[in-house]
Amino acid sequence: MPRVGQDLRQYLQLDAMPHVWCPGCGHGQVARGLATAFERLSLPLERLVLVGGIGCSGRTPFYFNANALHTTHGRALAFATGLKLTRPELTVIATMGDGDTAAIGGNHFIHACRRNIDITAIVYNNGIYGMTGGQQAPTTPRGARSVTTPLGSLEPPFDIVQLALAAGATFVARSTTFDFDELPALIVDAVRHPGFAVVEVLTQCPTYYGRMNELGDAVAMLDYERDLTTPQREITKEGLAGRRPLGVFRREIAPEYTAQYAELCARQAERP
Amino acid sequence: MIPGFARYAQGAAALHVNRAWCKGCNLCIAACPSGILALDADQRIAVGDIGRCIFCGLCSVRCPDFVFVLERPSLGSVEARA
Amino acid sequence: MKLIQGNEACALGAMRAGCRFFAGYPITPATEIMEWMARLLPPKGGVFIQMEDEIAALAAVIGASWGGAKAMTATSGPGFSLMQEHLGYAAMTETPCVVVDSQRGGPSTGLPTLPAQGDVMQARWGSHGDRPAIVLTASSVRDVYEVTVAAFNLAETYRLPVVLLLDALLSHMRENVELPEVTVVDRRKPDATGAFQPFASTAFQAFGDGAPIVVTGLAHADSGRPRASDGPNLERMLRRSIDRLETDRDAITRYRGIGLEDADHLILTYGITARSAAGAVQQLRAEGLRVGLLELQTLWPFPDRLVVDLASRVENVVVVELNLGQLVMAVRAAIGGAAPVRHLGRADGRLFSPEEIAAAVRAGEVAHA
Repeated sequence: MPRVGQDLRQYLQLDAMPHVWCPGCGHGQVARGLATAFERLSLPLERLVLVGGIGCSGRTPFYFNANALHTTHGRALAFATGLKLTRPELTVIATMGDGDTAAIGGNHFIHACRRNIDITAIVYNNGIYGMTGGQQAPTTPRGARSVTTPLGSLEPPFDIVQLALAAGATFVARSTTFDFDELPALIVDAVRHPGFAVVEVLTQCPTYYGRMNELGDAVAMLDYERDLTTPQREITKEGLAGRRPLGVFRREIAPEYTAQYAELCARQAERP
Repeated sequence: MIPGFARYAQGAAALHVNRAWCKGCNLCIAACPSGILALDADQRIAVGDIGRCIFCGLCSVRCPDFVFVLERPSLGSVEARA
Repeated sequence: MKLIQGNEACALGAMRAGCRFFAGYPITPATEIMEWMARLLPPKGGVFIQMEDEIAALAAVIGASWGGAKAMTATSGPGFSLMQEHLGYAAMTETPCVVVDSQRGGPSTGLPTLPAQGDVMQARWGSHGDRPAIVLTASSVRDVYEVTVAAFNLAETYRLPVVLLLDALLSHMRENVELPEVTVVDRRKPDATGAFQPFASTAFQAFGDGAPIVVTGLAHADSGRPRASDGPNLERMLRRSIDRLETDRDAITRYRGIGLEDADHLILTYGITARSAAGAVQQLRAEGLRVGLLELQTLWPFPDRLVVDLASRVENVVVVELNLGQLVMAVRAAIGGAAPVRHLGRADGRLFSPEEIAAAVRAGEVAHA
């Protein structure tokens, strides 16, 4: 049963708080979603490895009492793949930004989706590069301003969900930081899913994206997120009307990589 | 008491607030249906009349900074109240 | 005795050393190492995976190492260039692992099937920032086996990435080999007593084997927690890692000498080139010239003391390598004016013949006389 206001301190690295994120940054809300999910999953933290990329989202592992592997820009999933193959019994969750996922790490992302290895990728999508000061991301909407697109972006953005679906991820979902109850529920489902799971989370960057695109403060940006999206159950005959759908887009059981590898080893060992 | 958190009690229930982690983003203030939250002169969270708090927990779920913890001995969940 | 290929010997050495994880990406002339590992690992319960590129390959190796496995990747110049960021990451995170680079003619796609020794400086300095580095090489199929085991032993002992430089010829060469007995070093586990500081020593705890640990490419404290603005702390940790190698430099230095005892002239070389140099020594000795050969198997840390000691006893030094002047810089820096240094180098994908090397020594002798 969902609870709000629960004490999540046992999951946090209290010495590292307050965290690095700006006032009103949605990444803290994603972190809360993760902590809430860990409580629901009753995960022993010493069996959990949070693998971070580089950028604002990549800092997430530092704020938890779990194992932290803070890697390089875009490569979190490649590190996670080596780790998971060696230690399939560990729960491995990658926290990645939209630039991490779809720009510098695009290759690793699609191949992790294709392999169906039991790793959960939480993709924090704020449509911009925050850590470096507000540059265009591969998710920046057409026309949106950033410090490298001061007159508006000319490029069509990647849709992370469609990318994950096309590349073969077996669990694909989208949520937002507005949806404080659905987000942890989707993370729980993603972590339990025996295969590669992607949860894209639309998250606000009031410092850069909000300011440069005149979307107001964090409070206004949450409303913007709400208005930009539609839960799938609420999609009407008229369709999405330009909104992005939320919820689970795929949940399929398919052969998982580490399990298949273990079987392959067992077959080999039987041979004389 | 939770180390680092101030406790605002209403009978057996209480709202614990860690002012040191607050960054003054206003998300909790906008979410609070009772309107008892505000920023002080330091741009950090201040709790007004705790007697008007309904312990809905919206401040805690909206807060990106883990500032709020609710103590609600008699209440299981939001659904239970609905 | 068994007829085996250089790349096969590398894979066999890795297996003997206890390697249980290999991630790679196909590239000439290193690919057979990967092909062998794909066959050798599964029956031992080890993991083999072909990744999407070389960046991912070394990332996966580092992830596997933090899972507790002895881990390796193998590549050639273009892939080695892509791995530089993660070589630095492995150094910063004190991650034991082995990177094999079978060198081919460069730069860029260059001469994919022809041997070279042009990655000597990249292996030492290719990643940004300062770092401790161990770089080994070999000149025969048997050596490849032994030095691969040594690479793992050093990686595990000092908790760092060790680079093994082969070349296109050695990788594909077949020789009759009796695989030698070797000693295998395993990862040092933390003492059971007290709170474990993952970066205070070379003791290593994998994820899932104890209390949670933090690993980051940011500058960090001995606890592993980031100290991203603490420059003096970073320098302290770097110097500590580098000093470990300085202290043990003689033990880390592997080399082979021919006729060094009475040499008036020294040929200094390494890798595949040492084979032609040995022929040159034979020819010159037959002519009555007292020539010695120093074949380095440890290129970095550069064995200054050994080289200075030998150089101070000879009339001239000829450095032979398949590049346009790389290790010779370290030789010149080490010996200063102790002896004149000539360089014999090429980057055309060919080996030197013994005659060419002998001629260079004779020319040095004439110039000096």
